[in-house]
Amino acid sequence: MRSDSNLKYILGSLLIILIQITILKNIVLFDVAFCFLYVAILLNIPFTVGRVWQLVIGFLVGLLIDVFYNSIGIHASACLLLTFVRPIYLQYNFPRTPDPINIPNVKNTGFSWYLGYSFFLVFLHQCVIFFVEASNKSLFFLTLYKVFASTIFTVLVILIVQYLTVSGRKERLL
Amino acid sequence: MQQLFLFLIRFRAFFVFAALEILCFFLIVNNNSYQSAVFFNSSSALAGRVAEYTQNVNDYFTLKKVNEELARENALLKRQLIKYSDKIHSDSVENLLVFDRKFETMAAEVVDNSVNRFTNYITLDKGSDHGITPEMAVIGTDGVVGKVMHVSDQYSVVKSVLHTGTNISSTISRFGNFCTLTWDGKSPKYGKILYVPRHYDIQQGDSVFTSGYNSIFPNDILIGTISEYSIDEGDIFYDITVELSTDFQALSYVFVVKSFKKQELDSLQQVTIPNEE
Repeated sequence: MRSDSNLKYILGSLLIILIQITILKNIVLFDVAFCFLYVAILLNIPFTVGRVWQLVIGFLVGLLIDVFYNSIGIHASACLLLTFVRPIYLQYNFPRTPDPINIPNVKNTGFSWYLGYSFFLVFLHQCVIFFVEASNKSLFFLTLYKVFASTIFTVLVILIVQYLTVSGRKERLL
Repeated sequence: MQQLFLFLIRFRAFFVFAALEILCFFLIVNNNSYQSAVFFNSSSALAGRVAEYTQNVNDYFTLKKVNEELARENALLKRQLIKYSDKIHSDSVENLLVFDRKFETMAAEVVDNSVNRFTNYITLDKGSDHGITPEMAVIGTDGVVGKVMHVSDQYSVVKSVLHTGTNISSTISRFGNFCTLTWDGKSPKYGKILYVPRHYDIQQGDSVFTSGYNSIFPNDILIGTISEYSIDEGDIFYDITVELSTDFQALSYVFVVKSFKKQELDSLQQVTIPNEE
């Protein structure tokens, strides 16, 4: 049961990376809102994975995305920060569920918990990406605008994708 | 000693995090130089292939536009050919200059492009196998596009003009002065021109061209036209916004410019202009 859900997680992750680098890379709403759906991979790392391995997954996923975005190091550092902060966030705010769960996703944890969780971590991730890329004080407000727009867009897409891929059971593709 | 090991193990996640972040920092810094590791960007075989497949699908949707662009360029070239055919037949000194080739161009297809980031890059389907090397100029049908940054066997990555680190030597055609093109990170349609002193009588619609002073770009390649300008009391230089002639959002084919004189010019400059220490 558990290894089954882990396998689904890995296959789902590969699919998401493929979609990210072929389709979502070219989608930018209103010239400011970028979609980084691949963050969902890091948000939904199974609880059974240790902290160091979480960091390694984050680093590798970020590096892979960087190759396609020509921004080597930026996505990797943002993903590293996300995977470092995630266990700390979970330590203080673990989802209260009747059954023990392996993968935190919107169906397992409930909508309001997942919204707060994903918004906080995605915001952190986008802050690193845009501020490091801009690295220019005069662009501060434009950068902040991009961060907020992208965070909202990304969280929205993550939630939609999770609801769409939900099967009746608790453990799903993502 | 045991205490130290216990300490390290207890905070191992933090140490792994810190070590990998430092690695990322070096990668980010290294990425901005022209001679850096090639395999970690979209010129790598895998990333280039994926971009090319995606572009193959997109190609069908842009066929009409590309067709129109080619027809327009054909007409332009034909006009120029008629102009030159007279010259070649007449015996003159100019004849010799025509054959003194400084630049050669090579067509390449854009397989990947972005315009909305602060650092935009373009991936081309030609690489070192086709004779492309870093620091070559890239121009489009309508004007300047960028500079080659990384090259692999089959693909190359171009630093677009839409990059906050862009610096291209330029000139306003009416004055023949010396100024610099940069990009402020805001709109993909507009660039900035720096270092135009206030005694020039600038007008809206003045054309800006490359100056050819840096041996990468040929001279007289169109950059754009001045759309806005202002100068504050006490400022030395104008604040000029230039409307870029190249439509970066619809870039499909570009030309990579190989400069025959670049090496000669560079080595000459190295001898005559002492490096600032």
